[in-house]
Amino acid sequence: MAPDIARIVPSPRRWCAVAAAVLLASGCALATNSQSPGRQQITSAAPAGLGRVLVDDHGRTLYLFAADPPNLSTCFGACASLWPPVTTQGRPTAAGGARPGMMITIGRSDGPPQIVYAGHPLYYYQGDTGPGDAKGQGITQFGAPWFAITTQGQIQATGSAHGGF
Amino acid sequence: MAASSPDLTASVSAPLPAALLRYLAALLLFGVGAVHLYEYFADHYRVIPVIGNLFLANFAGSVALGLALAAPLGSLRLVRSLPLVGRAPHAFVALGGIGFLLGTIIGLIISEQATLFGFHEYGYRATVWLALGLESAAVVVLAGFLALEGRRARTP
Repeated sequence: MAPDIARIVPSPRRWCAVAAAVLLASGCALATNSQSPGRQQITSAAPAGLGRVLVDDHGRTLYLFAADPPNLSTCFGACASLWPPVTTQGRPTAAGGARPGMMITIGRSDGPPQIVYAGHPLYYYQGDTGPGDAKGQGITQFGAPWFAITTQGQIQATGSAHGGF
Repeated sequence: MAASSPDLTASVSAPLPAALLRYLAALLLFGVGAVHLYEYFADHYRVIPVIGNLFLANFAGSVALGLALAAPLGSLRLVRSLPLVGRAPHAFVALGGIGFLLGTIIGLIISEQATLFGFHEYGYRATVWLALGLESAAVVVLAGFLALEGRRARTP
């Protein structure tokens, strides 16, 4: 008896639902949201070509903004939409060479407190889609360059998102 | 001998107020597209997963809808031949435009209040207010156009 093709091949409506769910899940997995961070942990890793730098507990590279004065964030609005602040609900913890004595938090008007490391407010980059990405390294946006940061609290001077620097 | 009157239904132009609303809506849609294109390039939204592509799609959709509203669709034989749509093509474009704009507004509000595809919009800055204003105005204008078209269709 020939198989019922209609039962084997999903209907177009089901394909659309699956596609929408995949799109939603992938977007949620790729993009960065620091509005509900929980208690954040800062650790370190070595993204390709960058040396050992600070990352969060999901392995996402963290950046500093060269335009920020010590312990003060100047990245809001469109800047924060592209470079979401690294935030925490509760005191952040350190691991993997990150030094807890270098960490403080500062309040933000647009969400939870932001983590500051060695005087540098920390940020994600929306262009990074997962662990090991460092596409924000050395690029200039919103008027100043962005850099990954070492566990000593220094600008990571090696490596660049564009192969130079 | 009475000459047969040509069917003028397809070529009768819309009353002036309805036409003005249609062109105004087209301009507003172009503005909506321009704002999204600006954010895509100038504010680097092109790097954001999913959202970047949606901004580009919004630009394309806004321009397409605006062009469709501005074009003399009723005089195109292909359009006139379409069942149902062919009788009031601009009305269907307007309906689609309202749905498109409401979806855009809702997406913006979601990204401001929570997250959309994992992305959160930080703050109601000038470009966000401009986008909301243009989108809302376009919805109102398109609704007005539909109301006028509906009244014209019911008038014997």
